[in-house]
Amino acid sequence: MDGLRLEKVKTAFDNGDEIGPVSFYLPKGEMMALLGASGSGKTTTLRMIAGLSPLTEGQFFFNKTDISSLPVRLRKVGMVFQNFALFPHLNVSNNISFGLRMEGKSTEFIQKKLDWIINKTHLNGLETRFVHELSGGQKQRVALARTLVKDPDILLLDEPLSNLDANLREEMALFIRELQRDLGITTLFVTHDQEEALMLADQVVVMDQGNILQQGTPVDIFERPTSKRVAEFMGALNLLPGKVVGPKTVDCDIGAITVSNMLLDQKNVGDAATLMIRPEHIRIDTNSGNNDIEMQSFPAVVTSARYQGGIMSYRVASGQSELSVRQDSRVRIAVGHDVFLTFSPNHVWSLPDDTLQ
Amino acid sequence: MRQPHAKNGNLKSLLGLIPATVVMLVFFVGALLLCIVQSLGYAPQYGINQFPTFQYYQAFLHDDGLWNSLGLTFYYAVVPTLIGAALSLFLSVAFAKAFKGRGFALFVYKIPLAVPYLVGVSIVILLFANGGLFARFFYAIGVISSPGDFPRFLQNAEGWGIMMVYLWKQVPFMTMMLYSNLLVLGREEEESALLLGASSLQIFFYVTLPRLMPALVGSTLIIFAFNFGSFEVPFILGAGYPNTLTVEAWRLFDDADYARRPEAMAIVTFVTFVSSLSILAYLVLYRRFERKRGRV
Repeated sequence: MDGLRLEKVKTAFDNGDEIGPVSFYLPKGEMMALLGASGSGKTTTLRMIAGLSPLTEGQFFFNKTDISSLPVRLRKVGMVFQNFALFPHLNVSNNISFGLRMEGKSTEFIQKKLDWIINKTHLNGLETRFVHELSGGQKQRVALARTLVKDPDILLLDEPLSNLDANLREEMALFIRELQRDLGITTLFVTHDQEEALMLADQVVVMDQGNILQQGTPVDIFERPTSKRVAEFMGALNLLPGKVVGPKTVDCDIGAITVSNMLLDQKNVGDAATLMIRPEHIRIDTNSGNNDIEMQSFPAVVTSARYQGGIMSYRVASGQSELSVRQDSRVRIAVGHDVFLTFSPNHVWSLPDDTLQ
Repeated sequence: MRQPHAKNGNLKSLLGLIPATVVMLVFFVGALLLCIVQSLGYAPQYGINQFPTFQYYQAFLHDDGLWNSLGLTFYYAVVPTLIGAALSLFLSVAFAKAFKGRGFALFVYKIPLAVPYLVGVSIVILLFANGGLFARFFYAIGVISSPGDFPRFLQNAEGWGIMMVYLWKQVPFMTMMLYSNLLVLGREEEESALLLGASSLQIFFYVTLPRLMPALVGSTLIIFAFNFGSFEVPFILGAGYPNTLTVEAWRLFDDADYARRPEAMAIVTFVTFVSSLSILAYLVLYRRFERKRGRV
């Protein structure tokens, strides 16, 4: 199994707090997001891999070689810091070539590598500029170039888009994604932004309080969370508690809901269950004209409606529950309107028992 | 258009500056003007009223001992500043790293800042004088045959005693300035250099030192200016001849003949002029250096 494999790595802070044990596997050439709120331990995990936070337990491997015991300089790990950590006293060229110069590479070699990476990162024409003369996006690209010019095996990115303006984020996200695919470099990045994680990563690891809650593909994490905390973190606003009343059927506040995922098969009639339905998977209609026998419909009343550009965000009351619904803004429904909520059993996810508290 | 409350805010800020400005005008600018006026021959309190005359400047500028005094003044100003800067750099970088007993070290190094220079002078005399503790200790263990054989550290031409006092007091000051700068700047650039393959020495010379340059220049400027104009330490621990310019000025000021006081004032004015010129040259060179590397 080529790639980066962490085995129960742990570190401790001066105050005694611990992060870990953290274990995951990132296949070679893929991109993984460490997703979590502030203080969840994601940046510390990155620092452990870089060698900036010493391990108290565990080890990690790249292509089956234990690199956790190697000195920082020999790990072939590159890291781009959240605030870029560029050297303000050096121009773009000297920032990028810093690592090569420290290694004592020849001038010809350095120039060749510089030309290559400057083209790759679209920094042509900025070579003689100093850090204070660059925009946020340019700084980000210089930081990337400075790291990539050393041909690291693993690229670590700490909140790569958080210091950029909203209009630059998507552009930079695509740029990073393309560059990563082009170079085929194993990349791990840290983010607290779900959208960023889903947009960029092949694999997502959700962290909380120094531990991993779930690892999976973006679709797994988004649609099939294995815990309530992951579901909430991924913006699943509709969690409905209820009781199993029959095969794949749970009686909730809004009515009996049919569920198609297999987790419910392990439950008996009378057992408690919590269902998750994502706001974008619920359709809101003013009549019950639902001809699709696969779909299920429940009456509700709109309690709030917010316009959010291309989508409308509704809060609707059904039974004793309040649900969130998001749908295309071309159809708008006023507050107080009686409506029907329609969704497919395939879009109802039953959360595992051990996370219901 | 500027809002009325913005005008009020500016006025308040200006009013707030008045106490400091008055102190500066009276005690600094006023004293300097008085000194210049006296050096130009206006000192009716001593029965001298020849304003304007340069005879007092001519008197000391033609003195054979001037260049020795000027050289010695520069020596006492520059050498401890350079040694202090090197020691402070080492200490500030060491304090920025985690080690056992760091909290205690951070407390202890600041103690000399709260103690007057004259206490430092007393400590140096008690420890390093020929009848001092070290002399007696080495005599007691038989290393020297009498306390008088102890090497002469004080009141010698090299000014070891003067430098020890300066370093004892000034290294903590410079360390505090550099260390606080390191704390503000953070460690990410150094960590980044480490990940890029730089060794500890390379990180120090290519990352830490350039980042600390503004603070280093600022602190060495303050120390140089203080040492250049310092009087009490070279007066007590100096060799006697040649004297630093300030000690020479004091000797003339303290002369029984009051007519020599304008000459003392001429030396003090000269010290101020040379010190300001040196600082200006230092700043110009530093600005040029920063401009060359694109920082300004």
